[in-house]
Amino acid sequence: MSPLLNRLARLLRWTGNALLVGLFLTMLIVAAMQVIARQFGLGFYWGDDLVRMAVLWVTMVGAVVAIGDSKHIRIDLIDSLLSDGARRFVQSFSYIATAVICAIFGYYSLDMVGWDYVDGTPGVGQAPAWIFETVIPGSAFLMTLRFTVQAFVKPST
Amino acid sequence: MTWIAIALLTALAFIGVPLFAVVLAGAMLGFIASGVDLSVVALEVYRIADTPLLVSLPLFTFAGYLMTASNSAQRLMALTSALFGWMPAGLAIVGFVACAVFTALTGASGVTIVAIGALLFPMLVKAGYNGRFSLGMVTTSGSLGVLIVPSVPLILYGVIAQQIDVGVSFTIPQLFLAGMVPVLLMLLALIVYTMWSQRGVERTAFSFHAVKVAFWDARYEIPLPFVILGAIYSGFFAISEAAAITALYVLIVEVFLYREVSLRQLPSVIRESMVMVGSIILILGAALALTGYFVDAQIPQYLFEFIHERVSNPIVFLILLNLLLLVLGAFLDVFSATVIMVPLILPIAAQYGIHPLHLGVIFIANLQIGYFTPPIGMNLFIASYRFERPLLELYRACLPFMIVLLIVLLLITYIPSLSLWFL
Repeated sequence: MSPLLNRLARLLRWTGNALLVGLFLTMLIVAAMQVIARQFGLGFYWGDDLVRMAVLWVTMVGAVVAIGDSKHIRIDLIDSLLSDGARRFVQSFSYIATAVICAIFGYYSLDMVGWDYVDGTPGVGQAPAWIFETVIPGSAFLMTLRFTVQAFVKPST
Repeated sequence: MTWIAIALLTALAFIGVPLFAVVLAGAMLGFIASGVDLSVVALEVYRIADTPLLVSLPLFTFAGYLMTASNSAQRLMALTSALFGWMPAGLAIVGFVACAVFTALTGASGVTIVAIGALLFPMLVKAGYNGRFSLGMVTTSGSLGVLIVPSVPLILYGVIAQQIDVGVSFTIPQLFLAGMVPVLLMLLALIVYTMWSQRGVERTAFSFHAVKVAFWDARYEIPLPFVILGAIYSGFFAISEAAAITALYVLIVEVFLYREVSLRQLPSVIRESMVMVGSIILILGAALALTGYFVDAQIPQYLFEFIHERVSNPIVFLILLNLLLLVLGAFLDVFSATVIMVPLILPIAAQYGIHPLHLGVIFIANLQIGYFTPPIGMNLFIASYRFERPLLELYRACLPFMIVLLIVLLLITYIPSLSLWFL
């Protein structure tokens, strides 16, 4: 890989990790605050929305990061049945198939974001939902990219 | 057409396409076939942000990962062996209890093999337990925890079940209660089997001092089960709030009181646990879309009619279900198998008059056994790798445990009151 692409990949990885940590801490702190505040009859009306939105974000960002770790749950029966060359071929094929599925999913999820943008559907408190929804097409396209790269790049291990 | 789609999806799954993509493709193919715009799939996945129950998953999972990263496993072992070590088959009882508790807290039985099994296995062999017995024990007993509070598979079952209206509603605390007697029964059966098969093993003497030391070492973690149970059953807190309290409690205990995980290590623990959470909830999101299609197209209704023409007896239906789930549990992990199969099975089972709480227990108990069902149960591979033993030896080592648990599974399948006693 060229140095520029390498640096880009590293930047993306770092951003993914930082996002996961930040999102989780937000989730934990706001959720804990809500529990405590409710004991005093307080609590923010947007707090629960924010926590639930953080779950969606953690899921989508985590799913992108999981590709690099090979942590996506799959049936790995075939790995032990094939020779190295054949396995590499089948794996590349499965990554391409996954990339295509993610791309179709991402493309159609843009519609949802578009509609909520036009309607001004509220997401967290007064903040519009479409901003939060962008994580779905965003991650879907990043996964498309990541799986495509995975299909053509030799695994480092 | 339907058959081609099913064959295509199965082929994708078996060449190693990640399951979230397979399920997503299934949902998309389904909606295409019924002429629905595909953006509905995104709407369904977006429901992840609309399910309060799901908040508990990242929080409980983080707590489990944090405990794995610290020395909780050692303390738990020390405590249980001080308490139960003097009994006949004492050390084995220690193992069953410790493994079950650890799996319940960490949500993954594979982690238990590595964390507890690695400590337990040499202890068992040294104490005079048969080597093959010990190997089978550490490989299988972690799976007991998938039915214990706050088990992640049970929460996933609850999330999916709540999306499907079968006319009988239940709460997650009730689901945890339903799993209680079945787990105790499994534990009892395993202990009886151990006492019989490992009769000659010498016991260790009870030492009050050892109990005191173990209690003192684990003083911050002993309240944890009470924190979790108290938060869930006090009625003041939702499950997600109980999870927040648990996560915060474990964070304070491991990072600030025991100081076994430094603040500097914390981000990597968070990252690891959230990657795991991401991969699970994404499958769940895809499964929500698939569920939407199933409901739309009334697939469970057709399936029910198809099956009911051939099998009218609920008992026979349950036997077939047991077989199906055992096979499935060997191929898929508990999480994926749950979110993929529940939307199909739950409505069908309801029409046979099976209570959703009972079905949940049968479901998870089956998949639990699937963890170590030869030839490809996941725990077999983990244990083979961890203890450097050939797979064939593991098959033989796990077989007796599997038979014992299968007998209990039959009992809990055909005696619904074991799961529904509190209703």
